[in-house]
Amino acid sequence: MSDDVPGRLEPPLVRLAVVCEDVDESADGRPAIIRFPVHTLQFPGLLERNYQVPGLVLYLQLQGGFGSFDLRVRMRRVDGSREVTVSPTYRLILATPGDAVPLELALKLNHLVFPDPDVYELMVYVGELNLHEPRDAAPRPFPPVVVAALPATGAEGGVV
Amino acid sequence: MSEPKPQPRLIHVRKPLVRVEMNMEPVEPLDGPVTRGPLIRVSRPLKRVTLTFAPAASVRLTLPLVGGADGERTFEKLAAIIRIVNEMEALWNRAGVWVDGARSGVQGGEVVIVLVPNDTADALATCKRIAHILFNASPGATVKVFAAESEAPVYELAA
Repeated sequence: MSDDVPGRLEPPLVRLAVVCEDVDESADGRPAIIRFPVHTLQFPGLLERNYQVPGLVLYLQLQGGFGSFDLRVRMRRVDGSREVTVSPTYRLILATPGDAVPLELALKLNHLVFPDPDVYELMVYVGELNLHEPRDAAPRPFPPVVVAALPATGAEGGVV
Repeated sequence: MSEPKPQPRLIHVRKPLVRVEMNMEPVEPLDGPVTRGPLIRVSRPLKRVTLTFAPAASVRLTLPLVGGADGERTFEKLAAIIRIVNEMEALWNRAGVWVDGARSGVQGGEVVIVLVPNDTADALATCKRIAHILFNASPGATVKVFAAESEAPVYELAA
């Protein structure tokens, strides 16, 4: 978190987080359609390790908050044992205190690699604060987004 | 029950979408080369479910306009009777009913009033009791009681 916006910093709440293939906008630039929500995918062919998927999108609704934050996406195994990948930071500026209309973001996750078949979870951080963990302002936060990566079956399967 | 009326247009209030590209990086060096591959979706067919939020029970009173009766005046008379019924209910510490304005009015030569209990507890019993009072107080009226999930009336009083 930083002090680009003067005043007391208030991290936003995650209202909704969905991994998908893309988000379409309406003619006026408003988000309209979440395309192909992703919860389970499969390693292709005979691949066993280090599968880089085509760029998935993390659709995010952030509610409230005030200040300037370094937003980052982290992915770890669902048992919490090890973090496997992290994004660079994106400077998130929330300049309207008490804004009731959520901010919607489509974060394209390039070069996302699943090291091996397992269940993973994606989490959004501002600074060092994990927005999916309970805090005073968010006693029941939105949970991390779970994506399961199944082992390959030797077939190419339902390729997009 | 009557055909549902077209729903008003949903007005979205939202900001423009913010698109951000992020290049994910492994936290630790990977144990081998990275292989790009197609995305293989694994999912079940979508199950579509329609949930209709309806009151637990309702009363539908229909009174034909005969002999050139004025619809609006008749509606006001019935509304006045319902106010009295609510006063009677209140004397017994009951919550009474409210008029569902969206489904009530003068429609095609008859006055229709739909009532919904203010308290969902024992809603069906409330509707039957009030149906009796209204039927006896409104000559020529047909009074039907509907349960939430029912298209057909569960109780009917007609001349």
